Amino acid sequence: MPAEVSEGAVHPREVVRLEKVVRQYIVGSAVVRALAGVDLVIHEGEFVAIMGPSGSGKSTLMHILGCLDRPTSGHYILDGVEVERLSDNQLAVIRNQKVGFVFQEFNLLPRETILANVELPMMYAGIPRRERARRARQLLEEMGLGKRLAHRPPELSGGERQRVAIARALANAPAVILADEPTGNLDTNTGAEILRIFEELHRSGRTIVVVTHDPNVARHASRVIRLVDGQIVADEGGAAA
Amino acid sequence: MNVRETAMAALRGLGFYPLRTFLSVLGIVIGVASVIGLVAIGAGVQESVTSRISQLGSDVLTVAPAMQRGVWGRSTSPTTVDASLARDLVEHNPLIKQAVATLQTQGTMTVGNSTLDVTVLGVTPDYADIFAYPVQVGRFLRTSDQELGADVIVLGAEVASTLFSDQDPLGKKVQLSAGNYPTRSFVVVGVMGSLGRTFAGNFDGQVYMPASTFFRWTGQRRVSSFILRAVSTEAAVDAADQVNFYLTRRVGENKFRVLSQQTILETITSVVGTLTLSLGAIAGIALLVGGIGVMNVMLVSVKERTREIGIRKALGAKKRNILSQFLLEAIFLSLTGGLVGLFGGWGVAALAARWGHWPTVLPIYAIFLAVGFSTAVGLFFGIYPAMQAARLDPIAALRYE
Ligand SMILES: Nc1ncnc2c1ncn2[C@@H]1O[C@H](COP(=O)(O)OP(=O)(O)OP(=O)(O)O)[C@@H](O)[C@H]1O
Ligand SMILES: [Mg+2]
Repeated sequence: MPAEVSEGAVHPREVVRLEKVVRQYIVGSAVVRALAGVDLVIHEGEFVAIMGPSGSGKSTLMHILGCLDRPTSGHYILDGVEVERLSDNQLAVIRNQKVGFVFQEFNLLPRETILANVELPMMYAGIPRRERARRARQLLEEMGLGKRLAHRPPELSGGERQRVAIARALANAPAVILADEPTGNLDTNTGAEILRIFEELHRSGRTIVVVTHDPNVARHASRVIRLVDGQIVADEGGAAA
Repeated sequence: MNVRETAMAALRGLGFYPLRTFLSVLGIVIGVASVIGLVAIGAGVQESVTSRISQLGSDVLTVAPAMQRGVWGRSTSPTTVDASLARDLVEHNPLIKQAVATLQTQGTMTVGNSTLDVTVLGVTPDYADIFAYPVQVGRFLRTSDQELGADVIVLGAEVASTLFSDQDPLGKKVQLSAGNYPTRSFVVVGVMGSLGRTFAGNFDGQVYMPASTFFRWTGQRRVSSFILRAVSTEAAVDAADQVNFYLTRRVGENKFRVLSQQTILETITSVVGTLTLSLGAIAGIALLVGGIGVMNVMLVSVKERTREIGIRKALGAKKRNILSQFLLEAIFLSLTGGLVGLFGGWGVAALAARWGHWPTVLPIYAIFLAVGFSTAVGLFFGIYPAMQAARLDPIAALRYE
């Protein structure tokens, strides 16, 4: 689908395309529809904020976008790859190559150095050690952590840990960065600092999807999607909207 | 992610909990240590027995009273088993060419101020000949000594060197006391060469007098054992049967045991074998318990590291990456136990060897056995926890805690 040109912003390529995506859970005899038919297209370079009340399906949507989960029905095309029929192993490769996760709880390996943490996705990608270490060091330097390579996550502050997580998310140059409440465990100032990093990444052309409760975060995004009961009820600011 | 990186990740996983790692592999340590210890002790004993027996010549038979206490003494009159039976054994058994009777007691020998505990043997003159026991100085006992019941004595090499050191013992008088018997003095007529320790005892710590003298001194006529020599090595086993048959007729059934070197070797081999087998079963159980220990610690480890597994999966780890990481961890775990057990068992075998005067022998195959066993145990008991780890749903794993 050719991208529309709108307000001077150029979106040359679709990174994400969801069509009628449904994700339902069967709990006992009840059926919970976490996603009830979501259609969504995200173009390269967009900074999308997803908002909505608790239980509206934001995390479920992120899991599907990140190929940690499969839709019950509907189609999902990520960076040109139709992922809904891929095997577990193929999904692992897609996660490794095309997705960079940033979590609310940081999710770093606590006993490994931050350098090793950033190397991890590259290790699973089969990148040689030397190259891996070089790139991890460079990413951590960009995050202002060049002097702390040998430190382990428990020795770092929350903001520093989240910067390590961002460096790790960037390691394999993914098609999309998915962040589920990345500032949720941080105080206001540190949250703002992390937000600035996302803005910078956005400016350098990365595609970013952030789930947030914080209207402040949403204000920095180029597009805000509102989810209620597993459906998109509002989609503002996007080129395709 | 290659094997080396997986191995590194697995090794680091173990290093996080050294105490738990050690405790969980204790079963494997014990199992492997006992396997190695047993194999090494068995091999050492066998080697020493074989060498001692071949040292003696395999045409030698021994006739000893049966183990049941008192049976020999009570059920047979002393005259039927006195030293004269030796002559009859040669006469009535064509496969036997020589026989000596030995009477035995423990005694204390005194020369001047020095004393020494010795084993006193009353023997007939053929004794030295049968064992190919060489004389160092002087002479061994003679038929005339036997006939006269002369108060002469021949010393084992160790006895002579301990009591006389650099003096010449020939012609010297020694005092001998044993149990309730009166202290008596003997003239040294010879010193034997060294035979060392053999399965038949420590020759060098013995002293020898004529059987008739022994009887006159102690009044003891009951023979401790007869030592026979078959006409040839090949005839030894048949000769043993023949003597068995003869003695059954003459003194009754099961009053004695006829041992050939062959039967002794077989008995020892089978005892060692049975011991190895039964203790091997215990070792097997220890390995099983060790394996369950490994499985348990791995299951705990998988549970504790659920989130780590979720993170790894989110970052692109495939099932087999996770599987091999945890499987290698289990193998390293039990291999560590195996190596500790290997050295432990070796140490035990070396101690036993020192105590029992046999060589420490650790067959190469035992090392492969230890390494192989522990790897197999790790693999077998690690596969289930590793599969559990690999199968975890990434979302559930990330939410864990
Ligand atoms: N594994 C599951 N089994 C059953 N129901 C589930 C499961 N995961 C999510 N749900 C349900 O799906 C709905 C959406 O959950 P989701 O976690 O996506 O919400 P959310 O928008 O991320 O909420 P929050 O803002 O609280 O994080 C909820 O009703 C939740 O209970
Ligand atoms: Mg959520």
